Amino acid sequence: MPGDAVEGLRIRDLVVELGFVDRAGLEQALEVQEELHEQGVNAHLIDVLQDLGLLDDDQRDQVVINQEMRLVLAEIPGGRRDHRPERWVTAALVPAALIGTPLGVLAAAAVLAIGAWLVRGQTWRWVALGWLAATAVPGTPAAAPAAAGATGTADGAPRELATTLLRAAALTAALAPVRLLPVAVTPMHYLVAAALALALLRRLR
Amino acid sequence: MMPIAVYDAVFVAAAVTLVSDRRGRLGWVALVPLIAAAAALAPLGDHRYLIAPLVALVATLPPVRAAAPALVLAAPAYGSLRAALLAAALFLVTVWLADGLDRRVEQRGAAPSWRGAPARFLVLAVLYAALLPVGHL
Amino acid sequence: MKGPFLRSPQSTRGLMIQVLIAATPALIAAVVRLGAPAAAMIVSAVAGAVAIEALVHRRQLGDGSAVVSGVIVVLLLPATTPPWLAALAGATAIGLGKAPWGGLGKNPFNPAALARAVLMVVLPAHFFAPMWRWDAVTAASPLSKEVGATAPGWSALILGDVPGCVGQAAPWTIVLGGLILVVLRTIDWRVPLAYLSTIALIAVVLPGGARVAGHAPWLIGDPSIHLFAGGTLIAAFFLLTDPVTAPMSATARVGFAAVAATATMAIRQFTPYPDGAVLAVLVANACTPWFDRVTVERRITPPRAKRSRG
Repeated sequence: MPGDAVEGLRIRDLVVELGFVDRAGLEQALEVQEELHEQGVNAHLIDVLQDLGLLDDDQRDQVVINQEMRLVLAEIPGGRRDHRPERWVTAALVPAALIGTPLGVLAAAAVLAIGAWLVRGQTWRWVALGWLAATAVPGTPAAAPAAAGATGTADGAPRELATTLLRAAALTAALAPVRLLPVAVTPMHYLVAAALALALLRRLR
Repeated sequence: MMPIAVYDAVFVAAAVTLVSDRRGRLGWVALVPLIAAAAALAPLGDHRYLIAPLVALVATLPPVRAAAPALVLAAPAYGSLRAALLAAALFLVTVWLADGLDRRVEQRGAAPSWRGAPARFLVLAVLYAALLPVGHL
Repeated sequence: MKGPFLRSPQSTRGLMIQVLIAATPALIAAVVRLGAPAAAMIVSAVAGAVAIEALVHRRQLGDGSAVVSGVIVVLLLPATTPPWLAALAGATAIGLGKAPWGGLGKNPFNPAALARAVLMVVLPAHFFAPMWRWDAVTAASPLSKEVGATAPGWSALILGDVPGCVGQAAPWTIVLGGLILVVLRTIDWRVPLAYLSTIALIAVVLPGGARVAGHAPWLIGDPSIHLFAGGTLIAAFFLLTDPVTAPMSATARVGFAAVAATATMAIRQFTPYPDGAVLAVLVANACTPWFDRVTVERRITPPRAKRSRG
């Protein structure tokens, strides 16, 4: 499976995290898998778990979907387990370009964090809820859903969502002086600023 | 506060798309402005506040991978179907041009600290300036 | 494939010297016509470009490309540009137009055009002034949409008696410089020919009904103003002919010039922008990878091996 090599996305971690299998059951399945391997049979852990009756069809589907979902989320900007600077710079780019005030971004972040916590684990629902909630925050109707989309941390991990959005807010604050220039600020200003910031960051490293 | 301009939203959506490793369903993303414009024409009377969340919901329903740019493109107020069509076309053309330039930059070997995302952002910034007249159509 | 591609037996330094020689008549005309401010602009832009080049690519200083970028960017600036902005333009041409992409021969956009376009967005007040200071007289560019009723004649256009950017001081000097480059085979003659003829063709055949309300009437049907006003000539001879940012095959370069011409005319006729030549160059530059893909790379890529079964 594609996520097997990624720590935290492995089937053995997911089945325990989702509460389908306990530690003892997992140990038993791993032993069976090892025995099969010695006999020359390369059985997948999820098949072994199912054959042992530890996982039903519905649970199997949930595990696979969950793994795929987390893989996808890891690859969209600011996604879970993705700490490359360009991701959170992009995450900052959207609110910075749309509203440009750190306070506005923080307000949006707070609303979205609450929304994420309320409907954790159900991506599109909380994004829509984020939108709904964001319309209640004056001055941020466009920024909040855009920030939600750009950060994409809709996998039910409020702490990581909050971290990403706080980074985005901090970067927005860093980019805020651009607004002090006596010129009309466009996304082009932020794109150039983001490119320069990333290049500088890499050079410093 | 003014809503984001259509032209600006297209480039922010393109930036979000280009920085994603596994982008999905650009065709669907390009449909979002049309959905938003069509929804704005819906006879909802006093319930127009429903338009924004409904468009957001529709935009994020099928493709999780494309949720980010789709939501950004759902944000502006499209004055007409023509404006939405123009935004959709501009989004696809921008991503296509930026992809081609990105490959070219990779082939030629950009400066080490500029490879990847910084070069992509810079390409988009130049395209933003070069295509600016389209924003006035 | 790896670039840049060697397309000429001439050395880079030799090419740059030829371009500088070709630009010299236009620079002299600018100084004669506009006086000390033009000289200050030229010095500032070149200094800005060379300073950034020394900072990021000290080894490439000797090839003279930074000086060329500084000189060409000056030709694209309004005549009223203050020296600090000219220096910023030169620095931007190298700092954003060349250095990030890996240096000489690797930039996807023409550095001078890039600098002009980026600064136009960053500091629009300096580039969208409704009236231009020209020969100590304030007047509007003939490409502006809302100017007076009389069309400038051929002689005024060729001699530069109409307001515009620094390179417009004497358009005939740009043509002279372009011809020098063609004779020396520094540039591909097809590019300016295709660009200028497409512009003339569109100007003639574009239906009057496509005119934007408020446009000066002479902008439709008369190619002369589109050929000699604005940045058309500079784009034709100095920007589009940059071998690094143009397609590799001759056929593609003709298509590339036609795209630039179409974009130039589309911007002039359908948007409020008075001149689209520089932006059109960037649009054409952005299409270069596609031109190369359909003309060169497809031919040299071997057919995909049939996938074996089992």
